[in-house]
Amino acid sequence: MKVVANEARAREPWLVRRREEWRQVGIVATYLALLLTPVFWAPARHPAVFVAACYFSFLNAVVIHNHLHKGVFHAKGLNRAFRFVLSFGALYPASANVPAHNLVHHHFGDDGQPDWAAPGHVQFRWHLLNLLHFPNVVGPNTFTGVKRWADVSRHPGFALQYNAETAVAFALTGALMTVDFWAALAFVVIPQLYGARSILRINLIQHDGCDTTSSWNHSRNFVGRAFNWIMCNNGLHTIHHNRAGLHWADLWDAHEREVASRIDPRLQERSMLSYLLRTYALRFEREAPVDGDRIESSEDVAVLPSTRERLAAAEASAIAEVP
Amino acid sequence: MTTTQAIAFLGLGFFWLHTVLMAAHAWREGQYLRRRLRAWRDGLVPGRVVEARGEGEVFARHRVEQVGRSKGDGRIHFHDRAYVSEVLGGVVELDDGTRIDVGAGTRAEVWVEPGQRRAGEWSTSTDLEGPGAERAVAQATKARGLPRVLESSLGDGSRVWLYGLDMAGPPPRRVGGVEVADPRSSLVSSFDPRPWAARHARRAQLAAVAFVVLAGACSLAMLWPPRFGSLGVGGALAAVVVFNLLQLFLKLVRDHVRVPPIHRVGGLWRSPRSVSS
Repeated sequence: MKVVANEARAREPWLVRRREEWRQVGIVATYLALLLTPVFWAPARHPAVFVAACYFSFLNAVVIHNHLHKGVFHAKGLNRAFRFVLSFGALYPASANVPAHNLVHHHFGDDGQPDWAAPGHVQFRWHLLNLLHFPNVVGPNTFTGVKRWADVSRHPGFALQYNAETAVAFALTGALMTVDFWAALAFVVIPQLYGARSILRINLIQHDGCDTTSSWNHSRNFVGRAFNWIMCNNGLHTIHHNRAGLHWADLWDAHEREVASRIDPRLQERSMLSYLLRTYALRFEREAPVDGDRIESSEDVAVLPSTRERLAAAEASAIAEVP
Repeated sequence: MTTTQAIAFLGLGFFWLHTVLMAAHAWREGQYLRRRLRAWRDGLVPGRVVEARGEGEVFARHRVEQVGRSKGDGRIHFHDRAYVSEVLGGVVELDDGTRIDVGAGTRAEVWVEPGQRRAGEWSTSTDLEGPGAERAVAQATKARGLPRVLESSLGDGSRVWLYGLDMAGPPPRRVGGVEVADPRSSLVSSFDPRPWAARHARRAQLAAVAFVVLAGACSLAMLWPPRFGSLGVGGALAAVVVFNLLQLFLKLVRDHVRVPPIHRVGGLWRSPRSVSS
């Protein structure tokens, strides 16, 4: 038995739980380089660096999402330390994802009240304004919701970790501002805010017009291969909700096996860019929502674990990452 | 102009874009209340309940279904799960002497005077003592939490304001997981809702103006010559802070102008021991 265990341990990659995690580590390392270099080296203050920093800031927020579902590293201490790095990248505490995303969003509700990031929180007639405005509403919902959750959470380490991540993120950013204020504002703060707000916006893009009461048609998927490579399979959102305990590297197979044939074709987009143009630039009002009950058969629904089991899986993986 | 300066101006542009969006949202909240006021202009009628046919002689009631949770520190935080308005039926005599019969199950919002104490509410720590308090805290620490219902009811003799009960009012819409009541929704209210709506509409729209003024002040400081000088630094920092604060202010405005049937109640109860220690 001991020999088998040792062999299994020897097959595990060094430092990270899965080989694929190096992709996320690489994304974050690239992002940090893009953030820090312009502050200390003037020639790097270039529009291309700014645009790249904004894009990688969004990817950093995607890594926060994945890391708070399942830690990147074997060692818990390293996972906790990585959260500080990610929090600086987003200028918000990564631990906020535990109640906001892993619990409330995966339940599509807050104990009888709407999900803090429900698409219906924005209701301009001109739908493009909803896309732009969404983080302005959902951000404070999340901030106050996390505070309420922390007040009753029986995980004493959560509040400490959350507050520490906030302090580190702001302190580091503040320190950079003392080095060169305008460079830090342009090349650090604005990209940080862009990424943090974009990941909130993704909730609207992934769920607006979907039927969150349904088993399969609750999310919009973006199934481009290259897109999902850089996004660490975060375009495959239906399977992520239905099997929250599944590692992101395993989502592609599970999506093709379970989701692709079962959901409304409108919820499988090849390209996020064309979806955004079509939905927000070339169209004025919101599209009519998908009716999940009309589309789903009882056989389709029966394939899944029960709603109770799925929510329990999401909660279990969330709580496993709480200090 | 350097790239850094250009990006700073771009940032200022986005600051204004989002300030205008937030101001527009606050303004719309006020407009919603003004649409309700316009609907009430013809059809909101005051009267008195002369016969309440519901159980316990209740004509209409409003319930806030809550769950209390605690981390075992002697405090129970209450979270609103659902807001339920029910018309149980009866007869209302209007101020002009007309009597109208309101059927049980009539769809209508029930508005109760904000700040009124509700049945089931524990407003002081002495409402619950000894073993009862310990049991409540113990239950609140469990996953299911401690359920509680706060109820306000209108019975015989209650002064009421009615709107739209004689017609099938539009049901609330559900958009993206959030319910929105139509301004023409039927209404049973324990107080004249018009001053409330007018006051809150005014506040929401004043807030919208205040957002723009605040943003203007930060921008003025940021752009004051010499640009990118010390005042500019102060203005830019203020803009970043104000940008985030405006989002919180918008949430405060939205919560403040929520109509009474869906106004957040919440609540915090502290056990007598945690109060005295």
